[in-house]
Amino acid sequence: MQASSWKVYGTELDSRLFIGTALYPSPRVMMEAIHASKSEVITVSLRRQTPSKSVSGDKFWKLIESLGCHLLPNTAGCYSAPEAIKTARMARELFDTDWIKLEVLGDSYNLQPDPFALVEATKILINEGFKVFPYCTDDLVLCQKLADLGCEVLMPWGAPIGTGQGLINPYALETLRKRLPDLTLLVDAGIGKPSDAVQAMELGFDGILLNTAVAEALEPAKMADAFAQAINAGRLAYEAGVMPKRDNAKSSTPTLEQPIWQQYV
Amino acid sequence: MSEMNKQQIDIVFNGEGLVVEKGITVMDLLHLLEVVTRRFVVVINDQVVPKSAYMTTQLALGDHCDIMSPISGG
Repeated sequence: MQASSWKVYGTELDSRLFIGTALYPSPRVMMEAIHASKSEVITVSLRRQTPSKSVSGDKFWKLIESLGCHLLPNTAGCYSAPEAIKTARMARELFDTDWIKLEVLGDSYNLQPDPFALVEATKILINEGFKVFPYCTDDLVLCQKLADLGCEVLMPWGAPIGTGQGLINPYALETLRKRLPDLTLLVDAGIGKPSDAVQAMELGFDGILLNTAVAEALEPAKMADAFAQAINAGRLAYEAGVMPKRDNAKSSTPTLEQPIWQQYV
Repeated sequence: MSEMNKQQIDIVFNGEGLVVEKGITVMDLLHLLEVVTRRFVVVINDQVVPKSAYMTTQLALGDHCDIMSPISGG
């Protein structure tokens, strides 16, 4: 069974997995993994490249173009709002999309987003017509401010980028889901294994963005398939309604017609 | 400076110094550098140059011109 489709800034999607295009051992492996993931949204970036080297950039572009996916360019590596805004403008021209995964980092050690610069950049980019997908921490107040600015989608981290630590603060993520019920929420970064993705989806997150967990697997295509199934399973479970936890055991086998001394042991 | 040099200007292209003819347009520069990629964006002094302006945008002394291309990203 396939979980329900969903909308991201008005675009209807079936897959709830956004996948990155970096770190794969080869372009062929990247393509196999993206196909296996069934993702409809892939993340890309941009860099200054000299013409002599840009042939490789063009090869990359041809591969990406052949996938027919929606593109989500990022502002990776930016450490200030002006830098991120500048990169977003270039990305819009380069990739012909208003979507931008807004990354403004505040710490080079754990690549933690700078919440203040993120809010500053988001405000300007939304005024310029961008559809902002902010990569943010799981701080409720920050997320509320980003929503107030007009973000329809938020992408809090599960753990620092590339760590594979899973959801280090499920309480904070669950709080975001409960307090921001109308927002589209994706966990971006820190997912290490499919069960991490299931956990996020069971909490009610709408999707997952990941890259390293697939690209650095021994068999990326197989791992991409595993994530696709896990994310679908987690969403189905959320939609089906997970049973509440109980303190005491409750027999699942009917006790009707059992001898009276067995019913009340 | 010789008469010939007066007709040339220094710009910074993708972070490196480059001497080009005075009055050169973005389109001229792309031809000069044999930029054959299908997907790129030209940025002059941090401002994106729309494709429609390649023929008319001239580079000036000291301009920083960059060509940005797609790369993989997470």
